[in-house]
Amino acid sequence: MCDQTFLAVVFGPCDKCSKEKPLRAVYIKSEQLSYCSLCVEMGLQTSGPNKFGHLAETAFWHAFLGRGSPGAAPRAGDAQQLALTCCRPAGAGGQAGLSLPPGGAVPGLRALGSAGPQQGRGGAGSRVAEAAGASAASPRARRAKELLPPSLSLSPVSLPASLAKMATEGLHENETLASLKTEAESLKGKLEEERAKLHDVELHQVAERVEALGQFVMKTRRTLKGHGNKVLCMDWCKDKRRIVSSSQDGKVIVWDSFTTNKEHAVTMPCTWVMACAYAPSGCAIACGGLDNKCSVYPLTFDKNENMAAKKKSVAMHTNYLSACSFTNSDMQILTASGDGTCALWDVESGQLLQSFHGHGADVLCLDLAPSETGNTFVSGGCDKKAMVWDMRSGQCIQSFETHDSDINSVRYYPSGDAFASGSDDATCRLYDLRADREVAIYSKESIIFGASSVDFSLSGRLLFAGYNDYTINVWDVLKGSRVSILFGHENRVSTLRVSPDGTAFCSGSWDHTLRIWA
Amino acid sequence: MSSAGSLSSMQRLVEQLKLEAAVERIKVSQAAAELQQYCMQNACKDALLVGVPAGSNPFREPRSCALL
Repeated sequence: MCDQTFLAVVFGPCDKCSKEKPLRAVYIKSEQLSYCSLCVEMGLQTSGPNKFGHLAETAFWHAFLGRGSPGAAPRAGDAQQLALTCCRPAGAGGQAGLSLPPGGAVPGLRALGSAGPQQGRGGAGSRVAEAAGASAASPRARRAKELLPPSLSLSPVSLPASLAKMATEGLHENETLASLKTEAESLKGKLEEERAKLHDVELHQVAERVEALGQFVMKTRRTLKGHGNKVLCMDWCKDKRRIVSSSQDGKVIVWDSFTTNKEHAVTMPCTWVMACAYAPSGCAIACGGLDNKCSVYPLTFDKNENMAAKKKSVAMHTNYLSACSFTNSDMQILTASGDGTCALWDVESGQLLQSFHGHGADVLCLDLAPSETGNTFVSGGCDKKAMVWDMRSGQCIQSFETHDSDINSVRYYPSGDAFASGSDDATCRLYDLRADREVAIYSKESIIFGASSVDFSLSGRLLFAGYNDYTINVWDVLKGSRVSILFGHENRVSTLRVSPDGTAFCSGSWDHTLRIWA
Repeated sequence: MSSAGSLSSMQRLVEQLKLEAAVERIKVSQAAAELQQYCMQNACKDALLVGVPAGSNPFREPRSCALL
């Protein structure tokens, strides 16, 4: 099933960085230039005379919807015009499909359909990762042992030449592998030592003198009903009012949270739409799931336009899509997948800009750093690791492995210096990036069900966490204590986000509803 | 070749660990103090923490029913 050709893209040298890339029109001081998507990103981040107006993005979406962008003409001369199809056939080129990372990731679909709440320890994904690791351990070494019966000496003269060569090669590789392993172990030990040296105090000790929080009165203020099956993901629009949510039955709905009206609805061709995101401009949404793709739908209020017809496939993974997020603009999307990788895509051309390999199992969640702190993002996966990545280089900067089970959700602290994670081991943890370690654990003996989703309040003092036991716990981030439990959902809470201005938060659940709490 | 694969992945792991070991770190006490400071500075703006006057939270105000 292929989508039709829809957008002519100008391809040529960028006016800023001079690289050959898909270009779009931008307006700086009433002058029209052509920038590549990365330079558009950087322009949107800066302030002052070089910052683009909102014009650049609305022009993009006008062109997208076929209304003709105001004044944007392709560059003459050295620019080529390419018509790109949105759907790439399965065998096409290295950039279309992401190959599985070597030595790991037997991509197993997590236990999605399990009836009733799951117990905490050891999710399905972590078991898969362990099995993959064990089997990858030096089959060559095993073969080398087979070639040499124990009684024979290692002298090559006693064996036929080719066999001897293979045997010694095998042994040599075995030695290198073993020496690398010991080096890795010693490095890991050294890392722990370095981290422990700076662990002079606990966060809650530092926060002892802070005033305790009073009683919280938080109630469900709105209930959004309309999904026919489990709600899996939701996201707020920057206008602090609209919400997009996706569910197991394949429906993606855009709501007005003040009035609870549904503004848009689209049915995806797949079930289990596990990820959805609102574009920063509010003009589009992205979603994906078991179809292994991330698709972008522009939002239009024109009754005659069918939303599904304007769909654009942006990302292609080799396993399910677990999370997606627009970066600071509508031009790029970051995705996380069950194939163990994350990837950064250009929305317009569908081109893969950067891929991030390092997780040993399915990646379940990601979050972008708040824009002031730069181009990094954090991801969490079934390998119990949370990894912080540099978006430009694709390098993993830091990684943390203290959880006992799959990490379902990661969220940056509002200042960008820390992030929280929620896991199937029934705990939430806070990791500080500058201290490079875990600094707080939010857990109680009475909480035995996994945390599926976490988010901070505006100041970062409160951490809201949705759990598989149908409740939402509110934690005091500094003191480490729980300040409130919120009841209301009739099945596990699957997703939770605080609104952009911090006035409310929304939770989605397997009971088919979303609730706005304030 | 799975052995070459596991060898190169071990090499990559060692490289990655070296990188991570070289990261610059600060003391937990300093990091915690800065987290706390951020909280305190922004606490007044946090509607879910301190609550806002009843009128200004759009979710808290009572919705009027439209009579058709």
